[in-house]
Amino acid sequence: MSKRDIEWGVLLPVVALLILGVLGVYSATRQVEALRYFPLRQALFGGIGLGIMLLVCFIPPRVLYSLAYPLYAVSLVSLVALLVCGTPLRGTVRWFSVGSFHLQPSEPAKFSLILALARFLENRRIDLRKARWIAPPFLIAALYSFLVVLEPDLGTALSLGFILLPMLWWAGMPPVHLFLLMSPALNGICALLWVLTGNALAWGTFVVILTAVLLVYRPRFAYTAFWIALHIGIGTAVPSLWERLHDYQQRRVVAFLNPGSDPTGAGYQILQSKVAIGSGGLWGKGFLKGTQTGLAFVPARHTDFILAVIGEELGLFGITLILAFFGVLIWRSITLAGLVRSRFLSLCTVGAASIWAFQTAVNVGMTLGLMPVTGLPLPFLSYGGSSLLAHLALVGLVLNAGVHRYEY
Amino acid sequence: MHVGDKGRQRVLTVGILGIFAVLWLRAFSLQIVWGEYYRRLSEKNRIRMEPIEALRGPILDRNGVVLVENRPSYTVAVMPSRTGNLDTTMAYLGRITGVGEEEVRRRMSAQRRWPHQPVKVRRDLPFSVLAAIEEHRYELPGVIYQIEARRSYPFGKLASHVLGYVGEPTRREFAKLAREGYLYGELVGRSGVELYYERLIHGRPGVRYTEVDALGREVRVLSYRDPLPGARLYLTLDVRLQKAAEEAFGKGRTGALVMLDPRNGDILAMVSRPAFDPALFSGVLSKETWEAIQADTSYPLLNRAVQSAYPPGSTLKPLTALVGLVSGWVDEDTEFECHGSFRFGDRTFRCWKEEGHGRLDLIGAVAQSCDVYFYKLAVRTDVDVWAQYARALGLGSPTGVDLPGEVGGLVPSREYYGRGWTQGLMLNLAIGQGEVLVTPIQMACYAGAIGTGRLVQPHVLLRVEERNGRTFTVEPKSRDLPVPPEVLAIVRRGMLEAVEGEKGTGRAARVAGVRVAGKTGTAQNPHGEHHAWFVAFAPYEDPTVALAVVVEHAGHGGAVAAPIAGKVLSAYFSEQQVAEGR
Repeated sequence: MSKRDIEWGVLLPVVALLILGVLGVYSATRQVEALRYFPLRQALFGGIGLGIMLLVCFIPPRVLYSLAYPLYAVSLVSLVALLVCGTPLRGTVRWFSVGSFHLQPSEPAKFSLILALARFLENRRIDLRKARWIAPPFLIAALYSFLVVLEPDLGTALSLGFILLPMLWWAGMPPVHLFLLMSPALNGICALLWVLTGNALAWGTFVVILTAVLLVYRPRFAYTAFWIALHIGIGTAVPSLWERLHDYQQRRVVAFLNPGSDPTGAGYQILQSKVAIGSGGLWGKGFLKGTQTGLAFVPARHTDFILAVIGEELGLFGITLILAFFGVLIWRSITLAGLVRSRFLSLCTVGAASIWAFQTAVNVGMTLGLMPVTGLPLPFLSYGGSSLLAHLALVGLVLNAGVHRYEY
Repeated sequence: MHVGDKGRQRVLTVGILGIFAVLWLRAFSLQIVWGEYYRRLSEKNRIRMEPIEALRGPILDRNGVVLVENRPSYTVAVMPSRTGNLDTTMAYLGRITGVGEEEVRRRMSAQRRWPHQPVKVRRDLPFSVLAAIEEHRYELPGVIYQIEARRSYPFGKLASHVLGYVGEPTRREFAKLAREGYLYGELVGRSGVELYYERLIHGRPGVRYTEVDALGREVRVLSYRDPLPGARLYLTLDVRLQKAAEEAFGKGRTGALVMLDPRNGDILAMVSRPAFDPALFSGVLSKETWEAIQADTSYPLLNRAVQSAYPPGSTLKPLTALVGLVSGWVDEDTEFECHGSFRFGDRTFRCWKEEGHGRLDLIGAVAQSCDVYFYKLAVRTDVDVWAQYARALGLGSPTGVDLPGEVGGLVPSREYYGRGWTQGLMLNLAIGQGEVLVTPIQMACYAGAIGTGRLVQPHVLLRVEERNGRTFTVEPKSRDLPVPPEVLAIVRRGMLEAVEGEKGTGRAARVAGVRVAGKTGTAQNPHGEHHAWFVAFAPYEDPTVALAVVVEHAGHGGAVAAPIAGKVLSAYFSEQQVAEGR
């Protein structure tokens, strides 16, 4: 292994993002005595995470391959155990508490899920047009997603489910099949929009596209009937499922659609976040000079809304910087995935890149008021040990692929 | 062969970077296109606006004696955002202040919408409770005291119905008041002058803009606008006369008294019994106290002088006499015989004096309050003409006095009875019985109008001094009676005779050295004892004072109401002598 084998295009943006994250957490918590140790702790976890990253980077791919299913099982057990004996916090069970440390099992689950999916999809004989090959990876992802939804943590559950799609795509699934696989989720989202806003445009468009796909592709009659029945079922089930969502989840979605409706309630976060970012302007108010985030008008500013701190203090410049670092990271990762000879490592790399892309898009979209508040942290930046360690382990995986790019 | 051909790689890369581009454009839109807008919003966010309550204006009598003023008191309040354990704090405060945890919780939740304003838990904290809270200071973060102005009443219950009381508006009322700049928890007038002149007396709140830090602590005050205290109200009341009137009315009686100046409508004294203590409402009004007041069937909060209508009884006979004279059916010397009763149609109408008055002229009939004389007069009286003069004398509609909730009484006309009209009803109306209803304030104006020939609009507000230096005085309003002076002169003589004459029914109202003219009334009412009435004006030659007294269920006007009037009039004239002697 030489210096050339290290993928600097992945490592350098990550290090830059880690530094920005610690600074952001420092700025966000500086006013609150009780949170003074947060940036230090974030830096500490960053250091530990970099260690784990190196460790993962130097594990022989063969070992990773054989550990994939056992790790999946370990994560599965931890997710079940969490539901049985976790520490409830603010109405949800997301953490194991050990002293002052809170371990969030759904974060390492991302790592083991990617390994398990890559291990299954690595098989050259798979035919992703056949249900018997699609079903196992679908179940692998769905099982995690389901357990995390029960916590409940909708955002993380969505991100776990999402990983499946780009990995299937990378493994060679035909676009039509991928679309049909995604279609229940698309249907659900469009139907929900219809329920909430009374606007059927999105749902209508979806139905037109689905019909077109079925007409052009012409699957066997049994399949066609199955898809039509499924979609009618989803369309009718969504309103009742909506009723069963937690109050706070409903409020978040409604507040997202109309933040002005309740400026002191659920819409408050979105509105305050937009005010903080918008007031940053081009160059920002200067590091540590933010009034909105500094004055605690933005809630969760050191975790989910860390971008509001950066957007306010460093302006469009700061946000451009962060989007650029993520862009380079993801672009380099996908490019690397195209070069890696090992199917397993290539799939791992794409899995890591897509989960970063997904979480970044959802978190930044939320902070900018483009998406509902889902409570997904921004990778490498948001305060939180579990998230930081898991994402740095994924970086290790990508670097590992870079080091072993010529091996089959 | 490896997975992910070049095409799939491109789709993935372009897709993800495309989403990033959309996010960047959104940031550009927020920070550059809308940057100025959000910057202005953010400045508002950092600066907290804190309103400051204005002091309510004081209320004084006509000579500047303070009737209602403000005194400092402690209010214990909670800043919900700063408390440690909200539940224990609420439980503790509920217990120690005697308000109850439930009430504390109710107040907290009622004020959710105003998170930066402290939640007032209890006003007018006794010093012992204050000391107890102070001892536990460190266990109760977020609990603060505010020094607030409370209404205080140097004369206790004196003139409580005129002054009125203050209280917290209901949530529904507050929603409306908030638009006029009222602050949460501010007291507003609920009755009397406090309510009627709320806009004048309330003042305008000040405001303080402060820069706050992350925890909402003040860093510095940016700007400050002083509150403008409410206007100073001078009433037409005279404390000494008010005291004299309340003393004369005596304890344990129910009813009302109004004394006014018939030249300009100044109300000099106004009594309503039973009274209430306005101070009860100024601090904390416990639920039990409020319910007890509400359940009291003697309705102490009712201002009977303007809010109660009574049958007037014989105090209406001067009106009937006046109508007879104006119509030309009788003159000063017209005599009728009274044998104690009068037969009209198939009914017998009785005189209060069973043995009869014998032969009487008009003046004697007014003086001795002979019913038969007025029955005979009423036989020829047209009810609509009678009602027209009753209205000209201010009966049947509110006087327009500046007190809330005034009722108008009732002057029936032929239309009112419809097909049930018979002239027999007129016989009853002529002596003030039947459907006719009047308020004490109307009767004081009525007596004054007979005395002066002009009907005034009564009022309690004399002068307003606003804190910005502006002053204005209430202009008296009055109108001439459509009655020839010689007619009024005859009626006045009858009323003079009622007090001064040997056989007058109002002899108890005599005042040494002053010629008083008056009329007694004994209003029958189906619910019990008669209501005792007395109306008067004095001095006879050139009236400067008019009054009306009604005592509910007390018996004869001459025996109960006239002596009260006599005492009040004595007080009035002795004070005037003192004033002239000075």
